[in-house]
Amino acid sequence: MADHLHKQIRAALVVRLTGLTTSGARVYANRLYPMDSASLPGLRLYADSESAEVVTVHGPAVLERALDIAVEACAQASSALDDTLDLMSKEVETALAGGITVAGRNLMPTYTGMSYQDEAADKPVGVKRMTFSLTFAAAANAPDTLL
Amino acid sequence: MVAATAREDRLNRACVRHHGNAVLVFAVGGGQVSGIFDAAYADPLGMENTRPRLLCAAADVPSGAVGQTASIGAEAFTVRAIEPDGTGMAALILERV
Repeated sequence: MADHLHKQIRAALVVRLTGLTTSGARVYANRLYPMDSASLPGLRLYADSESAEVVTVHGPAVLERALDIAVEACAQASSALDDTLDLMSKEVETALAGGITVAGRNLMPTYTGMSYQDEAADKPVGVKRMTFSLTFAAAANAPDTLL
Repeated sequence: MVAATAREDRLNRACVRHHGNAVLVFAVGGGQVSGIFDAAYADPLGMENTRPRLLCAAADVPSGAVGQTASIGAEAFTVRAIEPDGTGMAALILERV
């Protein structure tokens, strides 16, 4: 049995976002613990929430699902922190505009917005959180299979 | 009131004298401030970091300190903010250069 589509999508996002110029291989899905300096500048990605709607009248129901994905560009720098984060978000948005491959199919995340936070410290840190929506369909009794 | 302020000042200076562990030397002018340095662990926005600061007598902080480069030993910092605590002491908030 295949993994839940959420896991497949997260894995596809990691593949798509690995190797970008600024963040390189420092891409982390659902990271729980703080990033150390070796992990920066890096990307954290999360499947934040999902809404679903039944689109069939017969069972098993087919659900159209809209998954909200967050990609956080994270960096630490004494100067030009915002410039670094803007560059990282340009790389992320450009990469995801090409879609991701899940179960051999191309899915297109749609950019829905961003928020920015920074904080002073030994070296100032900043996060640019980009959000995307990804729509796909799956049967209610087979959340591991893309329709 | 004056006597109380003087007592407070003596107490603060005794505290710095006995517990001080660092001297911050300013790059321009060579002014020095003795104080208690610490750099406690912090993870703002989910990234490992520290918050270096020097606790010192507020009266010892040279005017125009904010934005100046200063060093403790071989480590260079920029003074980013001064946070007086209202009792004659102040924390110099430092950022590593």
